[in-house]
Amino acid sequence: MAKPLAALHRLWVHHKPTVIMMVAAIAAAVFFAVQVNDRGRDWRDRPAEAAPIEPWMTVRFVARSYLVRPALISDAIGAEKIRWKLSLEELAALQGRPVDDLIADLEAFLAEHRPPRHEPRGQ
Amino acid sequence: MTETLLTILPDYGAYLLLLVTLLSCLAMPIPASVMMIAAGGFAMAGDLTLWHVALGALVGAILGDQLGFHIGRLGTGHVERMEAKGGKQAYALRKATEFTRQRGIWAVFFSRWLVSPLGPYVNFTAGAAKMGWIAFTLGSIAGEAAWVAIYVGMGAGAMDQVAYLWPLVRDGIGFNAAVAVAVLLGLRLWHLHRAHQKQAASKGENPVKAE
Repeated sequence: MAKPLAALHRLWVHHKPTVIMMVAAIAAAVFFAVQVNDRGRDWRDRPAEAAPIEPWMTVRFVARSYLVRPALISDAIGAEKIRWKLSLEELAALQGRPVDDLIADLEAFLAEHRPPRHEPRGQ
Repeated sequence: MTETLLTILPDYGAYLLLLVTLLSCLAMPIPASVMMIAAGGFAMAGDLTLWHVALGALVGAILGDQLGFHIGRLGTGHVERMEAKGGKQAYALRKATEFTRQRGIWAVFFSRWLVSPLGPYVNFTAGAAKMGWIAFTLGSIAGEAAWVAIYVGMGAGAMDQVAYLWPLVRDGIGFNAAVAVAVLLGLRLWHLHRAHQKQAASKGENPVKAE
């Protein structure tokens, strides 16, 4: 036990920056390992429906994710004549309202109109 | 910044991806992987064309690698001067550059996708170590093709789960990179330890053994 410790001490005395960098790399690896474990749990426990709607998504992105026709969604949020590539954030700005309001309307609409999934994920 | 880039991605598509992957290969802090995942999703939704997205990302990444490699080449003279100084550090540097010239293609290939945060630094190092351009380019093209296929494919295949998928992937990449750096530094420390042992033995001292 004493010899490995003596070797470590010698490396510490002569090569301090390398030892510090290695300890930092190991600490980073442990941090990311814990994160991956937590994210993996989130992934396994994620709800059956698609992931939450984000402001950067387009109407067609949401439609495809929730298996609903894009035209139904554009009607529901009051944007009959839209450029399909506009994000929800840009659409909300055009309508002069906060994007959170638009997403809330969209979620209410999808809660009624999206087709049911067969079974919860991870089962 | 990620939100803003994602918002303009459907409008600028392949051109934006080209720029993003190019800059990310030069160590700029740009979320290239999440952009490719989202682009795969936009392609499935019909907002972008899948092969345009893949080609844009691939061309940008390969151009970025080439730029990084040639920037590294500018440092060749400095590396050669350090190698010519003599002594243990210079010897270690000579061995490292020699190893890069002989086996660097694998480092280039794996640092494109498996430990992608290290990719830009491998580009600079490969250039500075005078690695052969053909070997570098082959490793770069193969690795970048894998990177683009994995991330764009993931986005296309699981577009409705991007919000859950991306953090998992990002932390997984971080873990791989941290382990790779720790292993490389561990090897370096092991060689230094052996050098101390040899030095102590040649002076007739009792060498410290690791086992």
